[in-house]
Amino acid sequence: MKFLDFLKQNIVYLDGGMGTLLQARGLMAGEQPERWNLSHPDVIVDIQRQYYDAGSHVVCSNTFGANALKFADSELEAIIGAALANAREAQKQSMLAQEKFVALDIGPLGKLLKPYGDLDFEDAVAIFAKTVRLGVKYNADLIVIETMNDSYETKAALLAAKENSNLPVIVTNAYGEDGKLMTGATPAAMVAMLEGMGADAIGANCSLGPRQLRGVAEELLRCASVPVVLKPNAGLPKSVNGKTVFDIDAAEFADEVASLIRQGVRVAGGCCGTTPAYIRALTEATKTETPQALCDKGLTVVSSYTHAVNFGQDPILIGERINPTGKKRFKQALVENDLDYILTEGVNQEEAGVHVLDVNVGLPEIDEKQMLTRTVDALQAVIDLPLQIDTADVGAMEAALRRYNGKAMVNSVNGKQQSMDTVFPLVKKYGGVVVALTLDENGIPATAEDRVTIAEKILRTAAAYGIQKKDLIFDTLAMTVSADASAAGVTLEAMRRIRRELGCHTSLGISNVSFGLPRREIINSTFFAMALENGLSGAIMNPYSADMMKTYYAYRALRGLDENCAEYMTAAETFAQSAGTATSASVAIPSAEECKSELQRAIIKGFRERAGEITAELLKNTPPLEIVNGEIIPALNTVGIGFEKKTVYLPQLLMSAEAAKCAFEHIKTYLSANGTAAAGKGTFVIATVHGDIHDIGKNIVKLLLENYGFDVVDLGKDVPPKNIVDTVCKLHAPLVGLSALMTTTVPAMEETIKLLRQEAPWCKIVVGGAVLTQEYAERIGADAYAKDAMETVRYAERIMGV
Amino acid sequence: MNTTVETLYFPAPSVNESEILRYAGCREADGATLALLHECMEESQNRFSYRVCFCELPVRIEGELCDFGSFSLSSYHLSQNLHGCQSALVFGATVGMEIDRLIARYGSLSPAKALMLQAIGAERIEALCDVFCQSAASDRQVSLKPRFSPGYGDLPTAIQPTLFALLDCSKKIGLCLNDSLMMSPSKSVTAFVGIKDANSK
Repeated sequence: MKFLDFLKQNIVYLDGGMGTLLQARGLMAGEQPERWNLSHPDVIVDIQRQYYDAGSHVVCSNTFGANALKFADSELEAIIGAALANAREAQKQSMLAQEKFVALDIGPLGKLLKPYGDLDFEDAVAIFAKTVRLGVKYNADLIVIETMNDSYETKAALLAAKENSNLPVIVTNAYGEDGKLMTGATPAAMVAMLEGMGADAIGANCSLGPRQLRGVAEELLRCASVPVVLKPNAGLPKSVNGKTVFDIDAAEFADEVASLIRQGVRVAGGCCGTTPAYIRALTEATKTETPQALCDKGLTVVSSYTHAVNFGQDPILIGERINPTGKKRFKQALVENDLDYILTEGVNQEEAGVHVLDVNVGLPEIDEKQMLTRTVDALQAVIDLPLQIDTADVGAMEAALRRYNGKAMVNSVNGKQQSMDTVFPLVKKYGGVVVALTLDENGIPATAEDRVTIAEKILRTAAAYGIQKKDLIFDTLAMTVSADASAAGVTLEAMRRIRRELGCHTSLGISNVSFGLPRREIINSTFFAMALENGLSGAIMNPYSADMMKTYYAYRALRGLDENCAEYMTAAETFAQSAGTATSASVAIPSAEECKSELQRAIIKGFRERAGEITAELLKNTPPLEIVNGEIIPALNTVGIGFEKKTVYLPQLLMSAEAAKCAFEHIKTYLSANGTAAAGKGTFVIATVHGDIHDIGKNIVKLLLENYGFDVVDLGKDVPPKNIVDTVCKLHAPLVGLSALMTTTVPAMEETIKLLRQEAPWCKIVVGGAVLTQEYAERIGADAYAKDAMETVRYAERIMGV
Repeated sequence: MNTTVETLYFPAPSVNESEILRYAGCREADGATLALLHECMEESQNRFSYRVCFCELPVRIEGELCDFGSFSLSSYHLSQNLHGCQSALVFGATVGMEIDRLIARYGSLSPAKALMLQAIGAERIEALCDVFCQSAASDRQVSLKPRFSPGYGDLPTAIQPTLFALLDCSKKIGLCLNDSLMMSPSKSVTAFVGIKDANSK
């Protein structure tokens, strides 16, 4: 029987622990258990036969750590070949009559992925792919990916399994006492991502005993439409007289797991500390149980690396601000590769209360695929919200979906055959909830009826691609009401029917409706309310619009979605406050520095918003350059000199620098709108060296250099020497700054300097970082050592002669 | 020799604000700095997960050679630190990855906040190590030597892979070692802690 057919009809028993049993048979601390497949095949076969004899349907090969990080290719192949042969031999030797399968076991790599670790996602996929291909070559019946404690690594492993085999895949994660993965994912988030990618069963293993994993198991059962897997430890390990013992015996273990099987767990086994006796007790305890029927939960859900967002009665806000359409400053940021600007939009929208971020970085003059991938990388590194990948470029869409850590929203597909044929395969492969526009080859239908017909066609085609209704969200296209008085009515009618008759979720880009009208927010927020009442599940909207947010909070209160109107009341307070400040714009700045102007005092005191507001006000009748040279630079100098004299400390210096940056941002927007750019003092390339992933110091230096007018090109952290040299050469940059935190990464700095001397002899090199000293800097061949950010600024001014 | 690695989760240790300010390079805090500190503390307080994995090993010191049974190493300073101990705890501790995410979030948006968050993270991991050592000492009713980490004195960070293999840090507490021997999450510590012999003074 095929494994998947067996899984449909039965409770499936997996095996139990291996490591502790091998230690009992003489495996030494520090010895690789995978090598025992070759050196002690008899021991491995014996243990695995005992598991089959105890009633296991699936025995995992002894390949937990068999990957290309730990073993050279030839040894890896020998190990995996032997491991699968051993399990097969055990299957043959076992006298029990149950169905028996051999699984290729894949454990975590023990490395954290970038950007918080040093292993790139694609490298992780490639490492897992090698193991998977060998598993296929040596005839595994299925793949078990287990003990993963990071969602991104889990995705890499599952992607490798899917791309390199047609085998069924079981995925189990190691949840901590807080019910989350080590890197923060909830069970609901894991189910969303793994189901989206086509895992055949999803669950929890290791880390805890069955009692502590009960909450996780119940949450998995609530969310998952595929079978749920549970493979707990025999409780927690304790050291007793120098021996490791686990605190739950076989009977208690079987009892706990059996009760979860009665609640719906369909695949069960044991992890650390469990033995064939535990599995025998479990199969005995549940031999009269019938498997709980699987049911499709029908959830429309997207996820980020931490949490899942469900589409249902409660409306979902999708922030629309990461989009260059009609925004000169945003376009400039894209052309200049200014990810910080985009990140700011992301953070601000998150703080404004959206649930999902739309990400659109398409611009004719840039490489969208590269830009979108970098933007998704940057956003998901620091923002908790799920992303909506918004692009018409299918290559960019695939690249972004591939690297996305979770189940993304995809914007969009439409009723054109060509659109469906390109987008649906990507949604099928990477998972996703896709926004489907009700238009096709003949354009946007004028009637609601025809839009519903297109929706039905899209549903049928999606089904043919294996994409379920729950993973489609229909957008019935808000058209401009000033051009066609019936536009809003048709959109709403089509939406209502799709929600009620087809049972699908819906979304709308709200703001199109008001195009061409004055005070658009009034039309938008009223249309938003009407749409919500007609079954809108998610709105692509501007969260900075108070009118839109007022509608959102009021609707939830009125619809009984906001218990005790609590969130409405909190929001109402904020609205009242912002109305208050708008009338009394000028907040008093403590005037310790009497002789200074108001802007100078705001910068010196580190008042960001105020510095921005005053600058905006000044720009109405003062030339930008005058503000920079007459106000901002003198204020920065006051603080900088204070820092050098040690009367001002680093946090204060930085707060002032940020206030100045805020002022500069207004000037930049002003110049950008007028089609000019400020002339800089020269290019300064800055990077944290290869192997080093700490960049606070580098960011501080960057902020100050920018304030002093240098064109800083920030290459980020963990930058290979060649990238730095290539950039310096391309820009013919006169100055480069390198940062390193640890003694172990100073050699990378030295290597970079050596390469720079060969390829870019004109370039001056200044270095800094926790472990560096003047003497150390000289020894590795730098031109200068800067002990802090101000010293770097002073050095740069000297070199550039400004 | 069978070493048992245990994992512990701790509640949040109490906060020492002046330590945080010291880590932030601030000897005197004005109102704005304190406001920044409190804003960052509030934003980060639910973002920590205090995890420790540890095991107890026998120690034999011979000159500079420190022999822990399953491995040994040569370090003058560690041998001095562990002098007179029959056994030692080896531990890995982390406050989790969320603080790294917060620091990165503000890395370019607000370096002042990033600096303060980084100082908070540094204070938190130290506080966790203190709490762990105190509880280990009282559980065993022994007193402990000051903890000693790779990178202190002549104890090289090159010992880190051995400690990570011994403690299985990535599986137990989600702590990974990078090729450059830096740890991820960054607010993490590995250390030896000598257990003072009850009989000797």
